[in-house]
Amino acid sequence: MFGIFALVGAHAFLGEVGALCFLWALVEIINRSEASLARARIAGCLGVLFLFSSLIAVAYPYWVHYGPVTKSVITAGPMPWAHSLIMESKEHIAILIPVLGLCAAIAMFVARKEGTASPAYRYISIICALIVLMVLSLAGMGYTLSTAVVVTIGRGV
Amino acid sequence: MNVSYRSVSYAGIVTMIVTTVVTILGELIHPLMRLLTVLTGHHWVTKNFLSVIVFVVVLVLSSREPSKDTSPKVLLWIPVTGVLCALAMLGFFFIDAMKG
Repeated sequence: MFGIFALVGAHAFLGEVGALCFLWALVEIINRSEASLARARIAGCLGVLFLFSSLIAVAYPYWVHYGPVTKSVITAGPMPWAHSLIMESKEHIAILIPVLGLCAAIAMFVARKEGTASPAYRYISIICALIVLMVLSLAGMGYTLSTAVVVTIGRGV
Repeated sequence: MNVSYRSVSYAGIVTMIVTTVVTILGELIHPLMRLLTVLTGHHWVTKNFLSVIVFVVVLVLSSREPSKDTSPKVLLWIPVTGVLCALAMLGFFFIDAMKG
């Protein structure tokens, strides 16, 4: 059981670090120079790695614990919509985020040969900002799911 | 490979649309959901693999020849598609949850 909790914690941690990487890339792009764009590319690659790792970390707990145990607890409680709306949306929107990360990271490498004045950075920064917002939204959804379990079984049970 | 803004955009946009369509159709068509489950043991894992495969395939196919259009404006469609796909799934599951 501890392993499952550790993996869920790792999932949240890796996802947040992934979002921070794209926030870092966004800041580097806003204050851009050759050196800062090189750091933005590193941040983008790390971000993609962390976002995919976050999904890999949660696959086992989702498979063996959420479906058979947590889901039935939530749906039996006062917040069944936490599963049918929040979890269903969260698990599928989460698949889109690493794809956005891949696009941003690859586009940064394509823009590399155009120098710091490339207009592509305007669009790449929008993708980076969207990744940060989506990850933060999913973290909020995760909090809602935890709340749904707590209000059903109570704290300390 | 000649990776361009256009090929990256195609890969991202097609992947997000395919993921969204497969997710919604999977909820509506039970044999499709069963197929997605049988392939890896869990439909969510299959969808993740599918998204990576679609992204790589579309990126490779659309990067075979150099793009004549080098404008980065096409990149704007990536976040637009991301937001629309996320809203489509949120809207679908909202309606689904309201039905009970």
